[in-house]
Amino acid sequence: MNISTNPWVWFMGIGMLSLYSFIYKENPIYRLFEHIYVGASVGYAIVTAYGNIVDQAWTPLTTKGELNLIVPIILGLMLYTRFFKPIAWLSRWPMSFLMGLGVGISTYGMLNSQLIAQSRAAMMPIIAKSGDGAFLLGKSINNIIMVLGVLGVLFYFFFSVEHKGPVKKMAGFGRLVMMITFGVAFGNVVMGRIALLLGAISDIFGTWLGII
Amino acid sequence: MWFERLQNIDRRVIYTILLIVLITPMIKPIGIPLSVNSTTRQVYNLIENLDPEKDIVMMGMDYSVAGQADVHPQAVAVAKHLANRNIRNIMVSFVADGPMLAEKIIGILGDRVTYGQNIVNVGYLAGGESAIKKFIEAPGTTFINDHRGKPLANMPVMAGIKDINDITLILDFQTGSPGYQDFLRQLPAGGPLYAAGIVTVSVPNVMPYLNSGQLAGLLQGLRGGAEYEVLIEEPGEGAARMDAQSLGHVVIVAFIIVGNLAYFGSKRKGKTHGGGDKV
Amino acid sequence: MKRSVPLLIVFVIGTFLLASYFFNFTLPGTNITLKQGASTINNWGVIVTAFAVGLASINLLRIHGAKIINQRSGWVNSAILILTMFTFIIVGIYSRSNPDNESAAKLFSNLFNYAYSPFSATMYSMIAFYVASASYRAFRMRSLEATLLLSAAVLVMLGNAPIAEQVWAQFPVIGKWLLTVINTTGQRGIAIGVAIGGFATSLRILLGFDRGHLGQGD
Repeated sequence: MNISTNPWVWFMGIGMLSLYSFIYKENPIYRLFEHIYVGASVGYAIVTAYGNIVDQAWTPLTTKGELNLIVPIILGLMLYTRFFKPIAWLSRWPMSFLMGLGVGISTYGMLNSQLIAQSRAAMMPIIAKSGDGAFLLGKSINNIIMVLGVLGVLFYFFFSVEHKGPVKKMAGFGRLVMMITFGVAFGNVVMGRIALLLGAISDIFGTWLGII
Repeated sequence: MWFERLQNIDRRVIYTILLIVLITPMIKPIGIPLSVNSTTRQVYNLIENLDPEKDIVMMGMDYSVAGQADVHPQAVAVAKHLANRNIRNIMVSFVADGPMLAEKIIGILGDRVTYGQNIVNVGYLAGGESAIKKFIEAPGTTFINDHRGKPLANMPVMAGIKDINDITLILDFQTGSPGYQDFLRQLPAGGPLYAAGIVTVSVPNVMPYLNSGQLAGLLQGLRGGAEYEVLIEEPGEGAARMDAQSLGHVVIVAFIIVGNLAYFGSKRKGKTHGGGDKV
Repeated sequence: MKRSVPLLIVFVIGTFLLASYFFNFTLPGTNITLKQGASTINNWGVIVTAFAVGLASINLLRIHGAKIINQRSGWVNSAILILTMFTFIIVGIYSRSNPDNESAAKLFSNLFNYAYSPFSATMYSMIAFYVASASYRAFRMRSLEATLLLSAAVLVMLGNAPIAEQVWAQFPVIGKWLLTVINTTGQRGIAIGVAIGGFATSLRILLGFDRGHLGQGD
């Protein structure tokens, strides 16, 4: 055992254990370190935002004379009018600007990379062949499952036609495919959370207590 | 009765079992062999095929500290590989935590790299997808100074970067947003190759993009990092945690099975007691 | 005016940027092309987003400041929160403004590595305990769908565990098949659906039918 003598590491270790104590029961020590964490998060975010405002707006405006940057600075400051009731409506302008910007820059890419590219990828040969023309049974079965599966999932969410007969069967198949998909997603969530817990264990038992 | 008791075990017992199972192999490693996924090998081959004389890599440090346990081992292993091959590495962040994590990696690389020569941490750009779009349109001029406040104009690592096509490969390590979807929406057709290192939680969502060829490679969570460490023959944090990760999965599976056995057992007991006359 | 100008802003900015993906002509009366104009507007967005980060801090100051002033229950924690926040801000901005000051850089680095980073990791890693508890106490195979879901989860977890591979070499094969075939299929269907829905929502926002971003009131 090689316990660290660094006071920062001790602060980290005690803080982490205090936060974990919430699992047993909420307590004052947990609340103290929770408040420290929230303060740290917001403080760090402000520092990074300040850096961006200085580098991307203030410096080019003052040193290179890029006067057009006055517009986003004013828009950014207008965001803070939401805290003053008589002029709170002014904060809608920068919010609308961000909304329009988000829609404008993402729509084309969303159609391109999500809709068209994925639709194209869904169109697979149901008789798969290797480079030299040999029939690939396994790949063909996989391709058939994938083509029917995508159609099934889309049918499941398609409500313009009543779900009966072949449509109902297709939607039912899509539902089964989605259940397995959600199962895979759940499995990955579990694995991911365990990985995060291992990181914390490494900090406590390794960096602090020197056992690992 | 016994099945009911088994179903209603105190949650703190479950937590304790989980902790013991995870901590024990961290203290006393078992050394379970680890096979390498084809998607990890794809990323490895992408870097192996780069030309140190002319190829440039952009390493997107887009993971937050909350998910660092899952993604940081991947980023470290890939950074080591790039450094070993002397490939120019430009570390950019579109997530606030990124630059500090990039500095951590540069510290780990030590003498393998010469800051400014073959590696640089240009810092963080706020704005999410807007920031990615801005960087893609002007990668050489978006940042004036690096994260340390030093001017980028004279750094050899940034030399010759006029547009995004001067970058050969984008390797983006991410925990959420902005992430692969934002990049795929903004990258031009025929532009640089794009590969990602993501948290385990997001792996299922990314698979369609890997399958369609929009992603050139994928590192999958902590296991992806461990596999990459095996490929570059430098075991690190990832490999050290795989035994515990492995046993953690098994214990969760055991919880699901035992919990369901207890449930069905108590259901059956209930039916036998309630319908005893009929039986 | 209070609602119509914001709707007009959404329409003009959104349409301008969307058009820049399809056209590139010089804007009348200027020597700026559509794409250059779009880049400029995008650049403005980066700056406005940076300003938006400060909103959270103002809100925190209002809530916790009021708690401290009125000495309500938990005011000491509120004081510590504000103290921590300003410590980060002062050290961070000073370190940024004086890049050659190594002590300031080291202090900020320590604050990040030992106060912010591990506490953030701890909060997110707590979910592992709840997932373990839920796995034992809540996840029941009550129906065909639930059975499929849990079976898929179990097989994927075993497929990813190196120890399971030593027990039966087919676990990773099955896990990989579930991930790359069935999961890809389901996720692709969902992604296509989301893209169609996203496009519809984008149009609604652009044309002013969706007004959630305007908030309440006139």
